[in-house]
Amino acid sequence: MRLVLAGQPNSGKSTIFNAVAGYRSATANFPGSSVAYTISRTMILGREVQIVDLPGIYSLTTTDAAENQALSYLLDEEPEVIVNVVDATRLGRSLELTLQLLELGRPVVVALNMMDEALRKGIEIDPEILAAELGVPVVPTVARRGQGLKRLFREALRAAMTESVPAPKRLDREIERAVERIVELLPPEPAVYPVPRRFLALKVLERDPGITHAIERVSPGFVERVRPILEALEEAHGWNVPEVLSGHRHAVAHSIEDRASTMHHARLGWRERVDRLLLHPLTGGPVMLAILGVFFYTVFGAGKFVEEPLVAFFDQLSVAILGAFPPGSFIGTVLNGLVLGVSGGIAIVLPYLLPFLLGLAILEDTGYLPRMAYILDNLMHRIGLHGKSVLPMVLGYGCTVPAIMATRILESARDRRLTSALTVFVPCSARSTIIYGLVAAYMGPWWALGIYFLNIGVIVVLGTLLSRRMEGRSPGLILEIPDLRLPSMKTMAAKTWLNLKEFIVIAWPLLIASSVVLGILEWAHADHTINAVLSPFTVFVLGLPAAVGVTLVFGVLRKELSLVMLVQAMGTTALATVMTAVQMMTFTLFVLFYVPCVATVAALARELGWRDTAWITGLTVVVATVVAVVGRLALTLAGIG
Amino acid sequence: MTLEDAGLRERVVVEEITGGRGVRMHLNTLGIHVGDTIRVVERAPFRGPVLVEINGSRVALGRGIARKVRVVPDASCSGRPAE
Repeated sequence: MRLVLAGQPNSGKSTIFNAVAGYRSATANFPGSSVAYTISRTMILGREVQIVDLPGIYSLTTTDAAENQALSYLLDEEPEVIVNVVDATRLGRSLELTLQLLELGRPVVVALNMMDEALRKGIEIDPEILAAELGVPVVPTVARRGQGLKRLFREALRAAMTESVPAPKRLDREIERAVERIVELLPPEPAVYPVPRRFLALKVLERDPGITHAIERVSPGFVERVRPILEALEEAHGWNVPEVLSGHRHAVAHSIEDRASTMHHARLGWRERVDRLLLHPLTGGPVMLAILGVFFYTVFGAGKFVEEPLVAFFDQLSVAILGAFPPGSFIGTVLNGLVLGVSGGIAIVLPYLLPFLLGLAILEDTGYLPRMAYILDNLMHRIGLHGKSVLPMVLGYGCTVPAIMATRILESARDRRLTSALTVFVPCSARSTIIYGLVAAYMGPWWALGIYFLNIGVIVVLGTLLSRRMEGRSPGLILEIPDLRLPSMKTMAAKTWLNLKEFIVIAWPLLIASSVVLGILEWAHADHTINAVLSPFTVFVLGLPAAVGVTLVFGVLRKELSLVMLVQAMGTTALATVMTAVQMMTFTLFVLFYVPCVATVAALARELGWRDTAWITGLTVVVATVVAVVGRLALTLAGIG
Repeated sequence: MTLEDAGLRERVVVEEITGGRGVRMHLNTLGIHVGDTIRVVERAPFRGPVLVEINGSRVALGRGIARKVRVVPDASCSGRPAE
């Protein structure tokens, strides 16, 4: 049985999903260009159910790629039951989507979520009245605390089993008449999609391009035949039809809201006061810088605190192993590679990665990211984008792959291309570990902070140049700013663990395997060949030790590898004894910008196609070389190192 | 006047949404329709976006978008008794 969670963004679908499916269950992305909706199999009340967490949608009218994917899932997949998650604090607006879901001819159950926040805002909703108005079961829930979920799924299973399909709400008489006439003009059964004909007719009225074209293909001349119906409706109302429809749903939804809810006096609290500070024209910017500064220093401090004793321990281990075998023996070299791979993960990467992911999870869960989009909107306009692009770009500090997928929230293809191209340059957590582990640890935190600022500067310059070359204009910012929320410890931990698992399961084994491979290469002296081939570039252009050649090659697999293998290739964790400050800086700058890891290249190819991927990848090499060479010259001239 | 010119904390009623289908539909789905009352909550400096409140939810609109929303002051709130 398939159960679909559908609802507006930020209504708590994923919270409900995680409550039943558990963060521990393997979540899978659909292949192809579909949005990252998550599916999971789980047992609910003794039944095996496949739960699908659709991306948030404001309506079944598509305005961005994520909505498009959600709509095509609902149209094609015929789920056994739709659980519509409704934000109780935004009942009227949420019901506009509910009204559209009722048109799909599938059983629907409404989860009236965030009841606690609604009460705080002085909104009292009677679920009974709401259920009677909508003709579907309504279950009040507080998903964050797991309240009401058991009843919700019981109702959902019952609705699925009894196949109780709700009756759609009737709209204004003239619209209904137009719908009837279009239904008659639709091609005979089986229709284009497994949905009620009334739903298709409404989509035609909304001038949904995808559905209208699909019908036109089956029944040529359809568009011409319905044109008079749409024109007549337009004539009668004086507005265009999609707005007439939307306006009517709005009216129906709000009259249901009025009947089902009572407003009391809202209790204003810390959220409103903090929000004033976060968004105020005078304090918003400085507070943002302060928040990011605290973030940076906490990650650096916590990482360094843990890293140093761990590195010392593994160094001793490594020395002991090499001492136990004759120098140059195969087993000794391979074992040493193994230890370095394991220790690189535990001692060098994890200490910075863990606090970093935790911090990012906090930014995501409190609702601060959309506020950053608001504050940075006009800055983003300067590089030809708008504030919403801030969201994928900030996510890029975590991992570039989900960040590139997150560009789907952008409305125009141009913005998605440009944002993806720029997001690749944002240092992901793997690259941050290099900034922390090399520059901050050996040269000091100010240098590391400088790299972040330099990086932002390079992105601004690239954005300005690229946006001039790309046709079209950014449509402008339209973004809901959700209420601030205190992150719950449980969610934080689960989210961080989910991201960390990716490192432990995929990156770390790769790290260990690569270290062993490098060990074997060293044993066979093959690393010298690779280094020699690369040395015109690494030694002459970048001024680095020849031994870094191999690390740059491995860095394409995972960026962390460059750092861990640098230690191995140079034969010591005391890097300051074998590399100058200028060399460390040049190395970090190059690694920061050059070819994103293979996973990113694959994500880019999936989202944008191979042509864009090729020029973006080429661009990264050019930018990396230019920045590294300029950095090297500037630092040398300044007399550092 | 447009939403861009509306005063801080002023209540206004949406008169018309100009601009393409995409923008209109997007604003509609966020709860902004012709005839709705909107309150301007905050304005970002340096011609940044406007933050508006509608039916209890907050939406940030870039200046370009705000310019496409034509509004009139809300008569029921300006102190004049309603007819």
